[in-house]
Parts: sequence; structure tokens; C-alpha cells
Amino acid sequence: MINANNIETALENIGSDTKLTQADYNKPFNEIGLDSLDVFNLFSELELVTGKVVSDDDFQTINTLQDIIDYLNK
Amino acid sequence: MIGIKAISSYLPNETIDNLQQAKKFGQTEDFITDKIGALRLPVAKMEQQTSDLAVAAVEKLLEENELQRDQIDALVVVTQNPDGHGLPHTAAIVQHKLGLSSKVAAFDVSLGCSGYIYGLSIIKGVMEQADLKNGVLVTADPYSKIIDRNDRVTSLLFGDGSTATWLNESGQWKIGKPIFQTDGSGEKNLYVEGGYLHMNGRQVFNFAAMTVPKQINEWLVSNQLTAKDVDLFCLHQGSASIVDAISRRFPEVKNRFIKDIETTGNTVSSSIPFLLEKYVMNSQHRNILISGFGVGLSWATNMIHKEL
Repeated sequence: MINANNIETALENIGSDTKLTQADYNKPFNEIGLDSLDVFNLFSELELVTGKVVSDDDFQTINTLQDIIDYLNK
Repeated sequence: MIGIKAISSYLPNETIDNLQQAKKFGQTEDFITDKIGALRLPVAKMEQQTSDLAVAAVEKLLEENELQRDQIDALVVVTQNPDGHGLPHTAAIVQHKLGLSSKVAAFDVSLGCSGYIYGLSIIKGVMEQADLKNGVLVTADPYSKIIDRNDRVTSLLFGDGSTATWLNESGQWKIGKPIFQTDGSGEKNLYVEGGYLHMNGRQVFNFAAMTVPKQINEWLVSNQLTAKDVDLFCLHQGSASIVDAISRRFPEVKNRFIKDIETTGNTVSSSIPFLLEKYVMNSQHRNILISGFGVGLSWATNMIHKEL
């Protein structure tokens, strides 16, 4: 199971200095300071943890950190 | 045994200001400086053919070294953007423009960012088999020919440039045994259609971040080395973020990964020899790991090792 701690560790690993509040998990990536390459990086980090590969179609539907948690825990 | 003797390079004078481009695409300055890494992208003139870039690099190699053009008996050009439609092959055009002997073995290799690793093995193999004395491996892949300047995915990344690597028996930098890998299921992640390059940025990024560290580790294990035995890691400079994502998998030696893309951009098969020319050829280092990855998908890793 993926949780907020995993997300925060992954963000730390990719060198992101984004400080998250609970509300940030439901905001679009760009509104919490994550650009496209941060998001690519984040998915790679989480693939290492979960072994789950996110398809392009599914990737298009994931817009927030909460979406990532929900998707990876499905 | 044949090794690398010297490397020279050429960058066009004209450049694109990437910070200006970023504004056009609504990207921040930090995105360019920290993530893409390229502040300027050299771009060839419209009338400059791929062969002209190749000739410029080889002319520099001749100027900077005691190599005469009539001594060159092997010429390999790595490119996927050849002159015209690739027929005749660009290496033949380069042979003529440089005034090389007709006794030269000259051919193209169609590979992108893994091309330099392949090219070293190919030219070495041909030279040894045919007993050739002085080979020149050229990389010249001007992506400006295929970039749609309105495409934010590709327009911020690629720069034009060319390199020429001289190989012969007295070359100090010996070439190891490579690992080559291919996955054609990724053909649509980086391809040309309608005259323009199309890239699935996420898939290319993920491919590099996930597969390249594995291949590097596989190379090290199969050669009974560890990452600490490597003096420098000269990886293809796809973007600053890609180099960071790969080096992160080697925390103990992260600072040995060269990241230098600021004034070149991603120059495809030229990025590794650019690094070797600048950071390795005249250095005291001995073990240099090189790894190229991209279009195909294709990825390859090897080591060049200085014999004392």
C-alpha cells in the first residue's frame, strides 16, 4: 500500500523542496510546484517501490498526488 | 590493441536562447536551468548539411593532432539525419569533401543516442579485421532539421554539434566489452513523422531512469568492478533531470557523474564524445564508464580504460 509517507519520501529523493499540506494532495501538480519532469521523476521513483508501470492512458487521468495514491492502491 | 587517440568537436556559432523559448512555452527559468539544463542550443545554418558538420569536426581533429588526411583509412559517421535522403551515405560525401583517399572504408551507422557506444565497437572491429591503421568515428545528428519549433516537448532539448574520434594502435584509451540492448516496442516513444520529431517525454524519461542504472550495474558486475572503481561516469546528456535520475541510483559516487549540457543541449550521439574530449582525454583518470540511451529504444554501456 502506498501512503503519503511514500509520496513524501519519493519527492525528497527526486530533490523536490515542495512542502506539502493535507490539502495539497488534492491540488493539480502544477499548483503545488511540480513541473512535468518532477512528475515523470515521481512516477519513476514510485515504480521502483511498487513495481507498477503506469500506462499512458492511465497517466492522463492522474492529476494529483491523491490520484497517484488511489491508482497505485487499486 | 586499437584505442582512442584523440577527440575533437564542432559546435555551430548560432544558438537559440532557451530561456526565451521557455517564456514562449510558459515554462519557468528554473525549469530550464535545473531540469532541462540547457541555456543555449547551438543550431546549424539552413545550408549546413550533416556532412558539413562532420567535416568541421574532422578538420578540427586534423588541426589539433598529428594526423594527416591521407593516413585515414576508416571513416564511420553516426547519424539518423543524413544528407539528402541518406542515399548516398553521408560518410561517402564526407570522404569527398575532406579529400580523403579512395582507399578509405566509409559507411554510416543509423543510431541515435546509443550510437557512440556502438560506433566505437564497430569501427574497432572493422579496423582490426581489415588491418586498418587510422580510423575516425564521427557523430553528427543535427536534430534542428526535424524539430518543430512550436513543439514544447522537443524544442527545448536538442542542440546541433559534431565530434570526431581518432582511433589507432597507439591510442591510450582502450575500449572494453560493451553491453547492447534494444526494445523496439518503444519505437513510438521517439520517432519522426511528417518531417518532425515526436517524443513521449514521460516514456523516454522512465525508460532512461529505470533501465540505464540496471545496465550500468550489469556491466560492472560482469567486469567484476564496483561503481567505486569508476573514475567518471560520462552518460548521454539527455537532459539534466535524466542524468540526475540515473546518478541518484549510485549515491556513493553521485559526484562522479558529469552533467554538462548548458551550452550544447542534447546533441544525441555527440554528447558522450563531447564529455570525453572536455573531461577525460587529457585527464589523470583511468576508468571511464560511458552509457548512451534513446531512440529505438536502444541503450548501450561500455568502459574506456587508460593504459599507462
